[in-house]
Amino acid sequence: MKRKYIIITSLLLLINLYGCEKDFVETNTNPVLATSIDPVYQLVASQIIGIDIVHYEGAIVQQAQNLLGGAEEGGNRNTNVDGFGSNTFNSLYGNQIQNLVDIVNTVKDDPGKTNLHSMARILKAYCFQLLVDRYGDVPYSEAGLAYLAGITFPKYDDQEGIYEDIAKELKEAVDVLDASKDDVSGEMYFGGDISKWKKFGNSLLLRVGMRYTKIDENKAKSLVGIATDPARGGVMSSNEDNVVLKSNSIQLNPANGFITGSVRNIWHIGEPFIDFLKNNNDPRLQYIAALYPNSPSGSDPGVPNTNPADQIGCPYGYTDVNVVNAPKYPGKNGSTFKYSQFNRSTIGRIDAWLYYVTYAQTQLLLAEARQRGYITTGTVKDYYEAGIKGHMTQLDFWTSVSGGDSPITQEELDTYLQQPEIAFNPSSGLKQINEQYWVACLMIWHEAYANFRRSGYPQLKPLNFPGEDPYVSIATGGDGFIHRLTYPLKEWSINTTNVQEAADRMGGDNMGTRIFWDN
Amino acid sequence: MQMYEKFARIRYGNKLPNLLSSQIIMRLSCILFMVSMSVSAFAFAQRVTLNRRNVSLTTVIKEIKRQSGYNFLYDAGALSLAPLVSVDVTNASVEEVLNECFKNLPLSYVIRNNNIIISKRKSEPIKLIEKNQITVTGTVTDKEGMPMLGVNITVNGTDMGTITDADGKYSINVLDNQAVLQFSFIGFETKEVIVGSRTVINVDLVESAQQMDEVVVTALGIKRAAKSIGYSATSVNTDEINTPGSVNFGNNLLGKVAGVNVNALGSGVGGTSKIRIRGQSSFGGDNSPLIVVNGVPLNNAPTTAGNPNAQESDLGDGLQSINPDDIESMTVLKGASAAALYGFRAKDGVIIITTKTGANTPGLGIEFRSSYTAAQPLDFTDFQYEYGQGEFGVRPASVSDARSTGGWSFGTKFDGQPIWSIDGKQHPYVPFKNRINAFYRTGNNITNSVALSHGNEKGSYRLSVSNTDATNITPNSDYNKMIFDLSLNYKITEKLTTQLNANYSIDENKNPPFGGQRFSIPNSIMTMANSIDPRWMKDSYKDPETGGEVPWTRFLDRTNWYWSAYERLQKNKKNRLYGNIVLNYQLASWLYLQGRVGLDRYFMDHEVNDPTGTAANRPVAVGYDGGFSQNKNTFRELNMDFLIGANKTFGDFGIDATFGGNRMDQSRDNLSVSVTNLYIRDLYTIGNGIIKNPNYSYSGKKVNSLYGSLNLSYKDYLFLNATARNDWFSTLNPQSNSYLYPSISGSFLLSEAFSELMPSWIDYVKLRGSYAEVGGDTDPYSDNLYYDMAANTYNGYAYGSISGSTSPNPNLRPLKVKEVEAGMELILLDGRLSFDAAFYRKNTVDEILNVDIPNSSGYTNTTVNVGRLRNQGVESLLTVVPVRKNSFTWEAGINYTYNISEVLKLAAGQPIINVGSSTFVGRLAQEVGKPLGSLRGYDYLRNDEGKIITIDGRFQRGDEMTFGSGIPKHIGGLLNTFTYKSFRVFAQVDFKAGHKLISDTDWNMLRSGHHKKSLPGREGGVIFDGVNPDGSPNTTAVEAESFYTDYSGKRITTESVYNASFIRWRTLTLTYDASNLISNTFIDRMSVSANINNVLMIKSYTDNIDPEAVSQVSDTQVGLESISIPTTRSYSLSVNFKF
Repeated sequence: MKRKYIIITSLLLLINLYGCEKDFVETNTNPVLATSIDPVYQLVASQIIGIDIVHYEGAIVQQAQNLLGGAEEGGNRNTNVDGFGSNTFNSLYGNQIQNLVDIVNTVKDDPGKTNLHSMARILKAYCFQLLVDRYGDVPYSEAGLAYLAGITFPKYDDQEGIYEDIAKELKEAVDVLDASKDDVSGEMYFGGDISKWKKFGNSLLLRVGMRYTKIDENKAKSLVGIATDPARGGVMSSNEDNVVLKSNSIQLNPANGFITGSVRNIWHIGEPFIDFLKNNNDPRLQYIAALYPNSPSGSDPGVPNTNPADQIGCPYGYTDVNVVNAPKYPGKNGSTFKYSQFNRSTIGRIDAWLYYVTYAQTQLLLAEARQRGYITTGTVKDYYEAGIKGHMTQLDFWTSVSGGDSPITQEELDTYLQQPEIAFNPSSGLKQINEQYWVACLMIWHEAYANFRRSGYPQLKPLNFPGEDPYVSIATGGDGFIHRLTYPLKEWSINTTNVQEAADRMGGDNMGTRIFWDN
Repeated sequence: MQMYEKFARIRYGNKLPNLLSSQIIMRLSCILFMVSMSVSAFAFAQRVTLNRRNVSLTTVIKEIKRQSGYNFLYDAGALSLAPLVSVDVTNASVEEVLNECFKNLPLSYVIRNNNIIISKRKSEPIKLIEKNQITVTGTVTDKEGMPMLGVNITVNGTDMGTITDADGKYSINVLDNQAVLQFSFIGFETKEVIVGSRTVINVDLVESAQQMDEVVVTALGIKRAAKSIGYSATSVNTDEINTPGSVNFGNNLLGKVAGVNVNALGSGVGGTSKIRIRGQSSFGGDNSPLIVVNGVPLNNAPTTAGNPNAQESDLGDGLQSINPDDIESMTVLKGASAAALYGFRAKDGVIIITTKTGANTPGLGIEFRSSYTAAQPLDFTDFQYEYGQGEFGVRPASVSDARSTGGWSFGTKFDGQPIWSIDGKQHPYVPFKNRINAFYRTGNNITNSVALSHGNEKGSYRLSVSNTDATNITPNSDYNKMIFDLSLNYKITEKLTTQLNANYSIDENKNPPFGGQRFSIPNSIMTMANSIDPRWMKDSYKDPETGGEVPWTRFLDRTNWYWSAYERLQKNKKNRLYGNIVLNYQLASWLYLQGRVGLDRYFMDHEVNDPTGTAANRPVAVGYDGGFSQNKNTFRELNMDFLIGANKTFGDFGIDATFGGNRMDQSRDNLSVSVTNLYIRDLYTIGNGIIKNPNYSYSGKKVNSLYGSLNLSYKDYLFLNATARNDWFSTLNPQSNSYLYPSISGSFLLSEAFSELMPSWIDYVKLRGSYAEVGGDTDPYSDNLYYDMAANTYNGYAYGSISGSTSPNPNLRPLKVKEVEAGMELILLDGRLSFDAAFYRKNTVDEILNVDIPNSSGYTNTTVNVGRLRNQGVESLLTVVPVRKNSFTWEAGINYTYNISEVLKLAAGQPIINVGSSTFVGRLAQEVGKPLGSLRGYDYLRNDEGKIITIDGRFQRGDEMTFGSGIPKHIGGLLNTFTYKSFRVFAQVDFKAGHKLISDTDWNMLRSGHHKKSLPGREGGVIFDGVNPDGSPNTTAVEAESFYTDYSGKRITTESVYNASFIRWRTLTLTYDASNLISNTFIDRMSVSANINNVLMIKSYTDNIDPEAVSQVSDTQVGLESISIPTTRSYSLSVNFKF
């Protein structure tokens, strides 16, 4: 009897163990992560764009320079280095596009989230413009859909088509934005201010339109017309409208590690940039450039010399070895060359704000649009000067205080505007406008780089670096400048078919291939 | 050795070859597989017909056995001394035959039941009667008081001996009252008694825990006779893995077991022992075998902790929590069939460990062991010593020059003139060739362990404590562990027994070494210029004014080594408790029921600082740079299982069946806070941090399982075993979360089935074969998308995003491993030669691939069930006993494993996946059609003829190519054991071959000018042997440093690929059994042993490094050598006492 009892008990135990396993589903639900969140949180996460643009864009537009080869080379030597070249690609797709595609998917059919939807579309359009400007054809229609649609190997879309769609998205999104609809005050750029979002969208559309100046002026004109149509909310009209990431002592500037990080001693300001500022007595120079006495020892760089007259830019086309032969070679201080560096107390602060799209840029684009006759209101000179003034009065940029007012006075500005090379001269208008655009893109080098390729200004000298990439080299058919960056090696190794198709379509995945608007 | 071990167990049972004493080996006398047949209940034929001339006695005995049905018990040593015999009898009685055989031999026999016990004939009466000679008599009984026949009684240190008669009585003469009598009988514990003043000594012997036949502990802890097993399961000699020298005893498995690949990682004394059985069964990083201790799984996953810009610190694995002194037996279940009952956890084989109990210890048993090890760093560097510190052919001209060029040996030719150096002083410009021994110190390891045990018929206990204090060869780095182990057994009633095992360990790791860059000491020591003495920085690593790090090279990520050692502090403390409680109820003589609850739980507290003033730190907006992070990890696994077992014999047939179930509940969580920038200097706490980043993560899963096994036997020579296990997973879609894992195996004892046809020189022949399917698990929560909020707001704006970069897949299944295995075991020439071979083919299907997907998909990877891979190979063991004399034996064991793998399939249309990359150069991939572990990197750009293209004299980066596999094809060991009287010498040589490595060290040495390969072109530049794009030979000279730096910029890997094969003299151990010396004291046993580990690198192919110096625990880094601490040669001394 006892034996039976034991057997029965154990059978009951068995049934108890294996019979009901309803808790399996519960067990397999992560208790400390959410299965859904308010998409506004994702929008804010997407607003924090931090990409390394110093190694290529900063060096190509000759504002940032390091003389070393090896681990830090790239644009300074016209060589193809995957790590720096693929940074933007991986970062934007892996953060912004992943979340923005998800937001759009969540709210696209939600009539109560039309503003949020539009904001996500605008930001998404901006990110894809960054990608096209850098790489040309990129995955667009199938991007970011690994989970939502099971597309793990996205095809690459034609860049021109992407641009068309970006323009359409920007236009539609701005038109849908409506202050009477959903409140998105949780977003970070403008606290949900719809009029500012409209200006952001329209300014981006202006930017998109102006990209066409080299290849299709009619198209440029029509897009600029839509962007500047006052009935649609207009473009950025003051520094209040800037799209800026207001970094602070806890949320550090995500993109300026090269100025403050472990390689801070090797980065200098490019010679053409210093010369341009110096030759025109630019009041911004003292807040941009500095010479540090204590490099490289430890974290204390010493009291910087910011006297504009002492600043000396680092030349291009040299190595750390043969730079001693360069004219005006200043010598070394320990391992650091005595060339000017970015001022670590102002624009190079660890918590410096990061400007993405600005009033200053927008005004300069308007100046060019007016010069080209795309728009009829205002004068070129006014737009031009407003652009310069806008840049000089940006908050935070020129001060050691986070978010501080610009120390540049109206008087300094006026004096500057009367410099012979600066005072607006219609006959050299495009040159002047775009040189100022170059300055106004300090630290937003992807835009300086795009505008340099489009406008041809400033007129920089090719590096002619020994052993440079053959697609770039003048000797082998290039023009001495990197015209696009190549796809990440990871895409080549696993998304091979799609990348190959894109490369064939564009005429090769190399640094000499031009983006469609650069032809 | 292990081969001999296996043989010896078959011969003598587990107990005997306790290699401490050669005497024991020789005296304990029996052959097992014959004894074990005593259960067979067939009638004895009384008559024997035999006509053989000049054959060995063994042959005759076999023949008698076959004809009569009697079993023989005898002393193999005694028999081997006998000359050849001739017998000619017809229809004679057994007694007649034996009398005939033994008539001229010094042998006698007794018959009891169906056993015939042969022993050396009692010595002739001693003619010379000593004055003090004492005659001792007595009776030997078993614990039930039954007299025991045939017990061997010997007088220690003499040739004198006798055996007991049928009434258990004996009589023996001894010389004095200090004499020690040793009573031994197969299957029983040997007992030694000092005669003293007694003349009557009655002894009762207790059965030893092991059975006489070789018994293998199989899955679920079920003990089975070795002969009945249809797959490869190797018992490991616990003495051999318990040699001092390695803090993690898993490392001692290296080279000992065929099919098992062990890497002692270069991650310091507290590190992981990386064990792989039969290759690598999946593309994932952790293919470690399951460790089962006393029937309960022990999580053996390596624990690691992150380091910025560097590899993770290896904080050890589960094996580390086991004190090898506590191990009673260890079995390696290599194949899927062996492990099939573990279902989803069995894909990498299983190591089954049973710990000691206090059973059969009538008095208070005390064991004590103490060992000391000194570990000396090995220096494999062989740099160029012609040109010293400097860059671009210029030597440092100032202190700041020196501190910027400290990582380069591209200076001028050495001339002995004073130059400024990194310590701010001037030193002569001369080579410094001894960086390794100048900086690293001798590591120490002191381990003491003590165990108390007692057992009687009601129950037993054993309690052990061990303590290890070890120092790493890097300064200010050490490791300490304490392990407590408790085993309790109690017979509640005649039928109900209970057992408790508990193990508690505390281990503390202080500043474990790691590779990579920032704060990595090995990296800085290896990359400093060839004229720097690392000790120069000892008193000048800290700036006296700022308190910050004094940099020594312009690469600030290469931290000053003393700054890393004394300012950058890492601490890890792990508390682990594992154990189980078992209740066993014997329902009937053939049926039992067992219930068990097992727990494995650990808490790990980790903290690490980022010291203020580290040169590479970003300057701060507020406060001080630096940071601190604190981490609390918990792991818990609870297993509840039951088992019903039945066995019954019906005539020639035997059935043994078990049925059971298990419920596993596993969870882990992690609470971490890391802070960057500090308010108060030098206070490393989370409260003092300015930027705070808290995080909490949790993961849990459950698996329910039911399983059963059925064993059938016929006449003790044919065995069949079938098992099935069904697992239900919480991690899978409920519609398809149930998986069945079957297995079948069989063994056939040819030598038994056809014993009459077997020539006399064949002792044992067994054929075996099996097929099984087992699985591999999936991770929890991989089926759904999750979102996570950021810890801090951005100016008051909260934000969050999709969690992780792996695209979820709701349709995952567990992977399956299907394995076929065939093998044979042979014992020949009276055990002088034995051979065991296994052939296996192991296919992994439905491999869960953590596949890289294009980042443009929004995710960097996803998990899919598409991979297929195959491992196949041969494992073989050959044991030869060239010499077997009374006082001297030499056994040589050779094990050899050949394993080849092939990636059969990846995701559709995908020829390659990248699984890991190294710190500097090279990556690991899996490629269809290639062996696992493709080492890949960039080659030079070449033209169609394969010539390297140069532009302006400089090579360009070409395509990424595969250089070979990082996984060895050939692994083997030669293990020699020499026993002379009380001395034993053990020497092991082992090798691995057929694999490659990509060396980060090499690549760094080349680009920094230390490597001999960087000498060409120092004067006048390098004119590289390449061609211009138009095909003409290159004539352009490039300045040397600029040229070699291109290896870095262009990541050319070709120059840094090496054959990773090696032959190494691994161990030399000398053991002396000193029991005889102390036989008249209260100490029962004593032995001392001396051991050298890593005696000599006999052959290797790598420049500047030890090919075994690998510090990464993950299989996604196989063959990617990165700069790690030097390997060591260790010298150990240990003593063992038993009271």
